[in-house]
Amino acid sequence: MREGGNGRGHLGSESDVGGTTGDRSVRCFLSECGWAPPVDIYQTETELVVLVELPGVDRDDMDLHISGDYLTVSGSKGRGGAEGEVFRRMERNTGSFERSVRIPSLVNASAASASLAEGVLRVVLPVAEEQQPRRLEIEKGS
Amino acid sequence: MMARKGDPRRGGYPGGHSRIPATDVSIDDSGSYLLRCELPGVSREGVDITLSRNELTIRGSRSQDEDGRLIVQEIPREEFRRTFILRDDLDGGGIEAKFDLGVLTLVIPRKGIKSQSIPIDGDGE
Repeated sequence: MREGGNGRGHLGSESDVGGTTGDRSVRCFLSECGWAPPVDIYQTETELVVLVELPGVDRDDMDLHISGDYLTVSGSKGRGGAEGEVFRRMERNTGSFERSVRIPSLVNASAASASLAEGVLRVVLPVAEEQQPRRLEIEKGS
Repeated sequence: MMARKGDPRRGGYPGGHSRIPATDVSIDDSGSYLLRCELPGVSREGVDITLSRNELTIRGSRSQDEDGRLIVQEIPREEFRRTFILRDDLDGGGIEAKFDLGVLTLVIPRKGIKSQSIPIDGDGE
């Protein structure tokens, strides 16, 4: 599912939460951004967790930023290999990549944090305190 | 050449779904084969490499899942699995493995090209 003419569509199942850039191939063709890594997004009451698969990409070779409603990770990935190495099969994505994920307004983007482990980038976006579910006390009637 | 089993175009492996890890295969200047196999989300302990005759199988299961509700899912859940058939002239016993940034690198040397000192006959003159 894709919306909008600028390639920044979002999945339609959730109105505001965790939309992504929709048809990645179209978006990447249009913006010449190379390949787009797959993402998973989890939501709890207190945070939104975005997982991006980036095997073989060093922390220094990726850039993560939040602009408006979008979290974007971009960078480039080399194939590796020593001089004189001859490749017989090349299946891994290499070259420049970019992926944007639409983040909901209930998230406090300025408190976001990110870590990289085992080729997966994990971005944690805390839900703003006033947006978290809370229990209401029921006053005792007389 | 190294062939592979479980061609995704033929429906993958029998007996359950698995994810075929993207793999580069190359030959270095000493003739060793290098496999670079992408296993994102798999810890070192979650990687299992077995060699049975000339069949080299790489498996990897991802670490535990996140808490919370999955609202966007693009990353497959299945465990990684792929088998390569080693050529007869490759030395399965001499395989070296390295795992870094979610990429497993295997170096498979050619048989008989391992560096070894060869005694030279003569009286040293």
